[in-house]
Amino acid sequence: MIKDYRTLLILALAGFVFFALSMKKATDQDFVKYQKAYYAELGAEFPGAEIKQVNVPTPAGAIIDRCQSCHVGVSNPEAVDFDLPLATHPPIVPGLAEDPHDFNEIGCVVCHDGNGRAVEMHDAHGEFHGWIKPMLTGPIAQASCVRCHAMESGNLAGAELYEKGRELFLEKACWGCHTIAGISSSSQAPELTDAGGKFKFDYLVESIVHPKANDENSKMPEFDWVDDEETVMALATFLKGQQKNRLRTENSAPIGYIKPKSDILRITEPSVAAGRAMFAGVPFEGTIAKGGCINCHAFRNDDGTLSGGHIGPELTWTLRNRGAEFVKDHIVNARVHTPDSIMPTFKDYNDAELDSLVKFLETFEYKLDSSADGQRLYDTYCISCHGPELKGDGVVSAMLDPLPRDLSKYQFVASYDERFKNSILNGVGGTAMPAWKNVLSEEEAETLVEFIKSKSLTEEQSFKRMEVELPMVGDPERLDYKGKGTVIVEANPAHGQEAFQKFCTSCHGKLANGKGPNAYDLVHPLPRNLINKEFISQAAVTDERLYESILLGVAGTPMPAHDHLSDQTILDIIAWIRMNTTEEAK
Amino acid sequence: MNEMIQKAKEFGDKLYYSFFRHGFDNTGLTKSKIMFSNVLLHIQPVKIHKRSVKFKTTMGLGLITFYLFLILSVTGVLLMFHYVPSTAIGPDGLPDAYSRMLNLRSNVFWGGFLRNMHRWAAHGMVAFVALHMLRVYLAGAHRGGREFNWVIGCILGLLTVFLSYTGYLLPWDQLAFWGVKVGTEIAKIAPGGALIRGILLGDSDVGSEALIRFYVLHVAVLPAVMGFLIAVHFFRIRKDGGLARPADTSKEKQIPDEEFGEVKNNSVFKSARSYKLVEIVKGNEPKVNEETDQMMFAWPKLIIRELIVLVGVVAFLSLISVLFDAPLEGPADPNHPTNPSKAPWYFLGLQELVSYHGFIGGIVIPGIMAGGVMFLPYIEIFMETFTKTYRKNIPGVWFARERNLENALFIGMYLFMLALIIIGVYFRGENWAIIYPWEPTVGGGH
Repeated sequence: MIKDYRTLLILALAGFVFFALSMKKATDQDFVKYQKAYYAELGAEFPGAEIKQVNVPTPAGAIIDRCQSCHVGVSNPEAVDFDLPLATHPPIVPGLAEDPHDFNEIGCVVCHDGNGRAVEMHDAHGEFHGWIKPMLTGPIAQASCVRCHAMESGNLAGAELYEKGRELFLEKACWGCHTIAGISSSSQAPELTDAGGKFKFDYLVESIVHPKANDENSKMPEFDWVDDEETVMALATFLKGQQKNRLRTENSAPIGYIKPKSDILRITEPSVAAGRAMFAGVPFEGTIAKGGCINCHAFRNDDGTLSGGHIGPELTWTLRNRGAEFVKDHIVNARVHTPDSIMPTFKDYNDAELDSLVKFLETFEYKLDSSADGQRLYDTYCISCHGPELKGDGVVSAMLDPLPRDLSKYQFVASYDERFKNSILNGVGGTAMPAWKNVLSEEEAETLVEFIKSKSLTEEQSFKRMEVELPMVGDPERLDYKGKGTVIVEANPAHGQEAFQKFCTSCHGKLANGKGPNAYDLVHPLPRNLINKEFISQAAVTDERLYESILLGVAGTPMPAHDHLSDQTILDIIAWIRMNTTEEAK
Repeated sequence: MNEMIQKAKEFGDKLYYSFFRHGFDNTGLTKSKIMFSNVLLHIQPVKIHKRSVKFKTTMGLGLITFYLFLILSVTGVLLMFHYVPSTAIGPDGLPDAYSRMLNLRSNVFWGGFLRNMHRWAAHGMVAFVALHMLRVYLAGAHRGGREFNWVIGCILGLLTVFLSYTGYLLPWDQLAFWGVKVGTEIAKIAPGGALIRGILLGDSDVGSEALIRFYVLHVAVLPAVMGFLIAVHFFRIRKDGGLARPADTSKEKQIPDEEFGEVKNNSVFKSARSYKLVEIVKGNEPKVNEETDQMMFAWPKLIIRELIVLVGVVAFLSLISVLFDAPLEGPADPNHPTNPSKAPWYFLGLQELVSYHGFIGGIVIPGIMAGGVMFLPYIEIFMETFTKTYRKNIPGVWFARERNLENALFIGMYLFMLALIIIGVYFRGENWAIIYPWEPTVGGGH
């Protein structure tokens, strides 16, 4: 019995000690230590520890801010040489004798984020898993200036990094794809109006540098300027500042609030200079810079050197290849011509701005002289898309849809070489392949075809494609062999649709847009988008070509032969494809 | 002066006897009075069997579970003073419920400790319910008239899990949101599960309605039901004659009688032991002399031992709560699932099963297990009655040889669930892929 009492006593003592420990943990906190050190360093008497709390009023309620319990000297100029966390805050607005920011009023969280109500360091700095607003330190805290001050169209002293980011957002053409309310309107990519509210700073940086880090299917290009840390930091700071949740309304904002200009100056007279400015993404005579074509598109200077990005096709010959109308339509909505283009929509350009761009494109005059051989022609005109080894993997190919043709496949070249000249001179509709007839002569086109053949066809890689003929309706000489000798009748698109859903959707997709489930395992080329009107309805894509491609497959591509289908079925499928891509379809 | 002292003494006595109606001497009468004149103590019998206080008999598992329930009630009520079941967004962009959690951690004195106590006690209670059930089964204490109490115990176990689960949502952080989300998605697979889920959530998804419903269930409905069933559970143990024990305990090694304290007999009927009447309960075996020799006064031995368990539990929980903080992640964000999204650990076995097959793993296997376990004593009776395979049931004896098959199956089921839970907790990473727990995990997303 005595043993039991002893056990009880020991346990009770232990319990008491643990309770006392919990009390100690609750009372003995770091800020007391910091405050003691602070007053000791000041040489003043320690007035007793206190939690210094600032309640920052906002339209939605008060933000609780207890940071100054540890950062006790932020407002005291005498503490300027103290160690962190006791030191004075460096001046925010440069060049002012007295800083207008009163930390007893606005606290720290307003600019630096973190978890303001906590008094434990990791907790307060937001260094725990899943915390949405980790602390913003150093110049990136400029992201928070806009929470109270509006800077849509003006500068705020001390917010240089943010301002630089804002300029970059326009200059680097981010605005072309991303919407930020009041700056741009585009549905090409996720909206960034609340980017700062939704995402952490580090996440924003990561998304700029490695767009595919979180979403493998992201279509966002990896830009070549992302290795410049300052640029990325500035841009991320600007994006971090994009928060829907503002702490001040227009009327209650402190001094420095600049109303956003609703009437942005626009270009009214078309000129080459204006076009060049837009192309480069820099402001032109006081207008807001809204361009930046150069971030994706390169062009050749008169000496043949390239400058610009490698995300979209090179534009040196575009105006000559495509013509002014096409170019203007393409800028306004690229999907009109190329249904799968990822080019942003620049629908708010006015005529003068479109004309300026065309005028600027007109100034590109670079052209090879007639003495150039096949290799030189290829390296100049074709290589950026079709690649140095003719594999269709040129620098800009990744973002093109459909992908540039892989011309290194000898089966393909052997089967279709008679088409090449036409494709070069007249282009391929609905794709990034333009018509070159205004730039290249017929002889040059022939030289290129010979060049491709010389590269891809060798003695041992011979390939002979079977010759088939398109069956004619009611032709008694050409009975449908698979159809047990029946006579071919008029094609029925409804039957075609049925057959398509049965035989074709795994690659071409239920909608026939080339995005079937198996398409994701294919590499190059990808299944054809069969509702691409521009492609299907061009002169070169005849019924005979479709018939051959379905029956025999397409040589050198994943498209297999379908000789198990009867002629009637193939004709039905062709009729359905045609029906989808003609005006009467809808 | 003496008179004054006398009066003061008299007053003090009157005061004392208005609270307590007994002294603290060693007589059997007083020892009985202590037990039955105290509302807290009268739940226990005046006299108990000697083996009841032996550690080996129960390991205190049921008692620990009950004490954890008490601790949870106390800390829970204290937390209720601060918590708000609201998802309204506050000035700092955080939902109210979540920012109350932050307050507990930083603004509220002792708040973090209270939350830790509540959290760890909740996890502990689920674990100890499971251990208690294992003990009861392996000791064969679920038979011999106690079958229905076993069913009540199973319901209490399910209630414990459900209480813990409803509480899991309340912090409204990512852990809570996605843990509960996963659990309720599993419910969808069951026939009629979508309806039950809808009633529970009050919405098509986990949101503000679900939070208030879970809150009310957690703080009012379930504890009330639980408290009532605990009373029934205890009541039936008393009515069934205390802890299950074999008919003959004379061969067992017991705690020596001296340990139970000296008993002075001050009865006028020196030879008669009238208190025996108190202990007469209905049974199918006559419990005469040798049994009564094994019966000892509950005061003070039993009460002290129970206090040891209580103080031990509180001390241990306090230590754990000082050392380890209850997890709190970022605020709940329905748009950004955590990867992996894991249910609370006691559901991870289920989640692991669901990852193999939704219906079989999520409904069939757990359904058979829960139903089977709950009605296990009746299944045993059924088998014995209809197949005439009479198996001798020895209540209160660990690993009775006659019950080897049943015990092996039951332990097997426990090991199966334990293995699944361990896999779920430690060996599942992003996209529910197999990982090793010592591999560094890559924090994903936001």
